[in-house]
Amino acid sequence: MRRQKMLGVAALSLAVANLIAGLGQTDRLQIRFKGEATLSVSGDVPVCGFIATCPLYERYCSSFWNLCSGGKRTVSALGSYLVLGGEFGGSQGYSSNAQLLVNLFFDFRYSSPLLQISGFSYEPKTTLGFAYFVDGVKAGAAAIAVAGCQGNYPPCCESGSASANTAAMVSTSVVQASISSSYSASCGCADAEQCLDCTSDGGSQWRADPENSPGYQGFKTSSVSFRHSRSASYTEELKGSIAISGSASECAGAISAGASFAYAGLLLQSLPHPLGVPAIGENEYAWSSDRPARLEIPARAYAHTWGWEPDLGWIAERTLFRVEPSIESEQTEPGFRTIAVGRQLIAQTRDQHGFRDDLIFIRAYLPPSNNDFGLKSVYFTVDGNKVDHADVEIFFPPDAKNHPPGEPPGYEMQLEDTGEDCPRWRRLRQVNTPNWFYYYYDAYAKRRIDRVYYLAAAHGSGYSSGAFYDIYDDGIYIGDRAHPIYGNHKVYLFCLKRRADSYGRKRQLITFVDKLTPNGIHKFIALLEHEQSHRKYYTARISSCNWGDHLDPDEDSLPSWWERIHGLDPMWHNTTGAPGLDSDPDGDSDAVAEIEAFGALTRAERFWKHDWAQGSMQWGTPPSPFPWMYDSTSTNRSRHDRCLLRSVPRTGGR
Amino acid sequence: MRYQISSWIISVASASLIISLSWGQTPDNAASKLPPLADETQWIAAKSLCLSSAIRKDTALLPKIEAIFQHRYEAREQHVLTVNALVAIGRVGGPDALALLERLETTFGRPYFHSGAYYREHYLPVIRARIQADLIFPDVRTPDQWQQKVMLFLQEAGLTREALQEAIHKHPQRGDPMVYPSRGVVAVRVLLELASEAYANGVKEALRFFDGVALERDYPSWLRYQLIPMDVKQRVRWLINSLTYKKAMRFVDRYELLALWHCGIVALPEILAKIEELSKLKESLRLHSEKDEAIGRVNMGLTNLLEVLSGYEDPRVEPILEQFAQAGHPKAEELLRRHRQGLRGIVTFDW
Repeated sequence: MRRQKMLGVAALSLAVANLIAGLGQTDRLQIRFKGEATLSVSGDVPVCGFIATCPLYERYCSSFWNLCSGGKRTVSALGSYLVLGGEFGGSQGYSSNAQLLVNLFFDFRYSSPLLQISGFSYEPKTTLGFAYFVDGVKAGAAAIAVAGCQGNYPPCCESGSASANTAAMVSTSVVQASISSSYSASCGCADAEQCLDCTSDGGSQWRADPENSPGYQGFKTSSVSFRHSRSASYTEELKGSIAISGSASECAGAISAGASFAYAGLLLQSLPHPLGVPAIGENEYAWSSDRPARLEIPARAYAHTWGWEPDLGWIAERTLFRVEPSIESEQTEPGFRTIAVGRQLIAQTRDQHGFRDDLIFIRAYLPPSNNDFGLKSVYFTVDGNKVDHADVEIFFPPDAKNHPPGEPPGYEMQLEDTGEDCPRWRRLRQVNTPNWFYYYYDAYAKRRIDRVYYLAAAHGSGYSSGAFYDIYDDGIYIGDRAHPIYGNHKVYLFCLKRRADSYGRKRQLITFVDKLTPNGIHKFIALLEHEQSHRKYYTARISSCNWGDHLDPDEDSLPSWWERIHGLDPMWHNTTGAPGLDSDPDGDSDAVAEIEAFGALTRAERFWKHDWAQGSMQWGTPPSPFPWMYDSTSTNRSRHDRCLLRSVPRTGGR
Repeated sequence: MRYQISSWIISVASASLIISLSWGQTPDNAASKLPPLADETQWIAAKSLCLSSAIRKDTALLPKIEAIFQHRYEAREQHVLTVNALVAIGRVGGPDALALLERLETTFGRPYFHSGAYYREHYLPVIRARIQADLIFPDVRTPDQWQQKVMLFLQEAGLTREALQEAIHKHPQRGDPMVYPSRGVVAVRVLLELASEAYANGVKEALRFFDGVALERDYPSWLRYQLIPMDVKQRVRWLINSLTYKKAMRFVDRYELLALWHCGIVALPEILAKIEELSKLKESLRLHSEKDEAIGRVNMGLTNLLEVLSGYEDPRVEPILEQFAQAGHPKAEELLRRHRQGLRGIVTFDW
């Protein structure tokens, strides 16, 4: 079957000798093959010539090679294989040698993906690993010798003898084969005139290396780098030779036949793509939203051969795909084995029902920690040797609630009788939290801020699905305003500016200058730190919702004495002039919290690297600009960068 | 042989296709598929549209109000704008307004629309009830009509008088950004608007409905209740007096700014006169180095009046704001900027 296809390919004209295998996105990675076959012939050239790799449609006609008198000739080779065969025979002596060298040139072209986003950079993997494999190397030799008197074909001889010898060899950089065969025959005739009683001998000896299999198989790993160039090359060679010789007397004949062949190709990881760039949205996979949670990662390799069809069963048995750092699967064995289907190697997962294609992870709940998501590598190994790996990113579905049970809880809240100045909330019922809250908490808040809860809903009055600090239970409640995708949160930004206060005196006053739109986990951080600031000032007895008219005439929760020395106007509930805070009952108190939230946010600027919510910052194409945007410029740099307040100033003014 | 060649080509091509399909798709960031997040100028323009629509009661403005929800807004700004839009739709009224409310219900259900459930539960039934009550009783002129209108309104809103009392009793007296008004509180505010119209038509009994309702717990309700018995000129004077005699500016005082602006262009001459008076007083206080508190009150009053002034569409507005901005008034520059951006109205939390 394999040879038939090979012959079919051989019928292609030389004009398409350069074969291109597109691998993945158009123009991103291409593999070109170019072959060059050199045939050297010495000694007696058989009438029918040598069968050689290229071009086979010329068959036995040596004229193509134009080597009727021996010599050397180089032509393009159509495929990544070597076939050399030849035979000579007759009733005369002969001696002939043929050598065929097929050089294989593999050219790789790779275009780095381009993505220009302000504030975001990435370093794509530039090394491509592969296995050079040889799927069948075999040498065969046959020697036939006959001697005898033939009644109908005088003259008869008194004796006859013949001997035939063949040696065939094929070698590649990974496997080789060689074989030789000789046979001789002789006979004598008692009555030559009558051609009677002739003793004849004739027969043949056929041998092959290997004897009973399609051929030796082997592979080696290698790699090319695109770090400094968009192209790289890799070369191999296939060598074959045949030596035939024979001698025969009259009434005897000798035939020698030899053949050698080798089939080579490249095996590359195809899925996940080894040059896929997760940072810009490639090779990204997300756990399912249901329970048990399921993650599927395709893990495959593809054999690139030119002019022949591979049979990858032998290499499949030695191939494994695995993920590192590992992902624990409770109900399956991902990558338990690899099978060959056509040109593909496909990882298979074993579960209680049998085998299924690709790497399938199944767990009762999603992994417990935010660190269990993110950047991983899918390794393609043969015999335990790494051939290549693909960088992948693993995400969690943000809106589902299939994370492991446990802290932090979420609550539906009930507004109690608000006879008091500060609203008093009661926990109505505990609810499960969405994944985004669970993992953002794990990534940012767990080791920093205590008593953080998810705010599922509030009853008893209208409510905002924002965030708040409850002074009675000292809890911070964060709602869907921090949602990684749908949260519409902006951080108000301030500078100190000298301007008149309500008394007309020029002072350094906190002044609204800009807004920042955070993305993904930064929304959570900004809201959490805002509420943490409220907690800080409340527990330090600076902020209170019932200072009374004398101490806090503008009812912004901050006492006048404190406002005076921190750049605020004790007579204006919104000193800063931020239109949004005009409509905010907390006014200056919120401005203080926003300043501290901004400070914390800028200290946590790299936290986007911990955001593994599907659809958020690291999913798909990163948002532009990155990781957040200032309203003043629509970029990630504020027009007021130099003066933006990151902590509450102490102006010391009266 | 031809078949064999073709099959080879097809196999390579299809393999490439499969690989490119699985590798070649770069998923968009989910946020990029959301409506754009409006900037401050867009927010101000949208808010101005709502406030103006509420005063003009022009049904032709309803499509424009609907269009503002094509944007997303920062959570705080979204709340202010949504309340303004719903109040405006309620005031414009008519069948088109009812149809718009139906469509907004879908908008409020979108995942990026914060507190959508809140608006559906607490605002939409009340605004819908108001429109329906206005459709049946557009012009209340008798106590009986008033009574029937109130009954219809409460029925449509799914409320009772007791429920209103309970709701307003639970409402935190001091504004809190976490606590939006509940359906009962919103209903009280709307009923006060209806009562104001009935009172102006001579139905003095309209105010009796609120006997025993703790309006003082909700400042906008309490303020409107105070203003109902007054005619427009009295209201203007009362509000100007209140706004120019404040020691400090609290959040709730902003409802007075809005109330003064709601008095319409009739308030403008009085505002301009008061600004002039206060300017002179300020000079005088400065010359005589009076106490800080007196200067503070004058500044506060000036700032409040300038803010209301900045909400008017009148050629006299901008020169005055420019004059104060050049003199270094603490808020004039910002008010001038907002006026030039097109803000015609007052920014308040939830009315």
